Amino acid sequence: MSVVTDVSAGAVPEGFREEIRDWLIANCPAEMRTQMSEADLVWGGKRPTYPSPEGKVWLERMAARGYNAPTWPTRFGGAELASAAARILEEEMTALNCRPALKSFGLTMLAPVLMEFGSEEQKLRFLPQIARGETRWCQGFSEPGAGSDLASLATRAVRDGDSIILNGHKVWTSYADRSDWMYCLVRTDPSLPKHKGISLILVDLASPGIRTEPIRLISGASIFCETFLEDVRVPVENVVGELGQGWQIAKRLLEFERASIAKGFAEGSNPTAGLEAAARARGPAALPQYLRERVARCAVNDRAMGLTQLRFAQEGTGLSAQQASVMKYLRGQFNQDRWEAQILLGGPQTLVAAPDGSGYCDEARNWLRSRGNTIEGGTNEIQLNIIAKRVLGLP
Amino acid sequence: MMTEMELAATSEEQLLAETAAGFFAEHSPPAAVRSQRGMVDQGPCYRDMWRQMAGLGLTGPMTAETLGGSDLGIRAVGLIAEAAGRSLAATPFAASGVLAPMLLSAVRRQNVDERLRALSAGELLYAVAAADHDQLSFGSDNRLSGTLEFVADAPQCDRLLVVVPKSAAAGIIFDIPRNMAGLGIEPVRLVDARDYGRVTLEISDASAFVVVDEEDSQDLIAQTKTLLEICVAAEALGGTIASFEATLAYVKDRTQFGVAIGSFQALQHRLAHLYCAIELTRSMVRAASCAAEVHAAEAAELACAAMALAVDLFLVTAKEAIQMHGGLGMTDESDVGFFLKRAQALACLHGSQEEHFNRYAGLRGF
Repeated sequence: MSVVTDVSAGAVPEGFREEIRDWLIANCPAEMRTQMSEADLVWGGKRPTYPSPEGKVWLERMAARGYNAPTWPTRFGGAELASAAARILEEEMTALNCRPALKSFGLTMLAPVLMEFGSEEQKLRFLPQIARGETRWCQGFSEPGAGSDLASLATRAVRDGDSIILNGHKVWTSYADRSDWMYCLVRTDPSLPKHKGISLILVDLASPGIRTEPIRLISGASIFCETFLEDVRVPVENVVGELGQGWQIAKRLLEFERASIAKGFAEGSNPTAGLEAAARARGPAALPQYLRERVARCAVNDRAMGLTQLRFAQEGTGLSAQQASVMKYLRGQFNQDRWEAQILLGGPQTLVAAPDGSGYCDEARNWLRSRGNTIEGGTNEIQLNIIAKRVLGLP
Repeated sequence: MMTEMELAATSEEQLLAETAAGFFAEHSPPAAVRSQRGMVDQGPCYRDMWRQMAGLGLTGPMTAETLGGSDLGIRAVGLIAEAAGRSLAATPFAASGVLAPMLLSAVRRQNVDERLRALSAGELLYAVAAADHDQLSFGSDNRLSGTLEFVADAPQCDRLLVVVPKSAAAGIIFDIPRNMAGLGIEPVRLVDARDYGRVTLEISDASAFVVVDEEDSQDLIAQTKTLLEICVAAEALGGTIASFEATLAYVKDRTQFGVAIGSFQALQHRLAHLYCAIELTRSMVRAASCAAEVHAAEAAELACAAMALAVDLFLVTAKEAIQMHGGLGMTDESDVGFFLKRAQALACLHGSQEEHFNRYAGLRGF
């Protein structure tokens, strides 16, 4: 069973919890200890935007201590904490209601595979910038012809001296328009069987020949982009691992993606709190029985999900790849159930569109957007395939 | 709130669960239902098995060690009930191993200690009849009267604990000997091959049998409900896991069209979905027993949620088990039908998923 989370063994120094708490109290700005929304996330990068000046201060202070990547070695921008100590940091941040200083695909997805497969030069070059939030990364995996069957991807990568020339079309490249770099799966050898001819390459999005366009979803504007690569020249040293090792690395990376999706969902302590509050506000007399049941079902499922997350963490040393699939599968569904209940509870009012057709109200947008939760990061059907084969041992 | 809960089983708990599972697999495997159902009027003969369980320390998790119990607590209750559920073992565990010891331990009277010792030793069997409103009356004339249907373990009990609610939370608890004049117990057999009792009470002066009066009853009545729910939900979880495992083994073994039927995606996805639902339910059942163990305020909510998930999943899994066993699943030769019968009995006796969701909503204030 492969283990997704980094497990650095080691003892926690005495008084560590108190020390961390004192540091957080002294250094986390009061504004960064309030309830946050998706829009308040700080993503860093070369063109960073901050919801408030305190967001910048908070990121810089956390980065200076290496706390954005607490278990990493200090030479890579981490704090070299044992995993038990990192958990204490996380617990204390939760207890003090500290917002995460940095949200980063580089941190949660690219970095773990760079640690595992990257060269020392690549690690020293890219990891400290990721840990400090100085470069923002996006993922170039899916293509119009390669969705669930990702290994059929067709972006061509042809060697030319010390460079590799890329030509292709990537889709669902989240935040590509705001990112600095893209880790990208490309076909370096079309003569090999499809899983064998793929490589993972790191692409500077400032390179000539790259164009990104946003994708409009059923829910309106989105974070997703299409990225077009036309004769893009990338130094050959930007290949991660060996040429042809890309599929192996990508599978590992997707495990981290699922783990981070599953974890991300569970971070809010009670995702149904809003729905329950809305049901409570309606009052028992005005709440039809079927809605009451429906809201309770969402609440029970979400609660069970949080407890399962906790149990998995307590039973092992980290979330296994198989457990990440279970969580990802369940959470996508529960998220949809919850938004659907919200619409039923709110009634037609939640479906009113802006007069100019430019948008929908929050409930409608979230409800529509949630349909993607069982598609992105590996569809639910793919997750069930994984569970059937790797957990249940079915042929 | 959740960070304090230790949901993973300790190594001692794992050992206990394995001991219990091994015992039930040997003494009361699912196939035993086939012979038990033939013994009409005798009911499942669990008295001997219960004594053997006492020898293994499985009868007294709620009883102090000084009274012969193991004092292992509610987490252990969940594990033992789950192990029994896996085997579909008919045991008097819920009433005589959990509810009666819990209630009697709260009563500080000398003769109660003797009963607790006898319970732990497996020599005394109780049934617990918790009435709803209006089913029983006990008024100023001290007359206890009324009828209760489908009281589990009643036909073979030596004594009966009767819980009579007086308000939403409070009530009176009686401890009545089986041979008391005015107490009638008529055995009723359900499809799960277990015997229940139709209990009729016409006792002209029941005041001598009161062991808990209204003032002291508040926590006890809530605790009784929570514990019963933990027993039922854990049993249902065990039955779910066993019928799932049997089905998984079957689809790997059974071939059609020249391949194992488990290679078909239509079955794989349903089994993988069930697997996820089991993981979810396991967490909720475990959380309910953890919370009850430390008397956390959320124990009632979690037990209610565990009931909502576990009993329904047991039914769903048992139905899928029959479907995936195909024609064989419909035959009396296969054990999977026994799981469906037990699942449906639990759902009818303890409430549908919709009822539990509604109750959960009430507990959460909406």
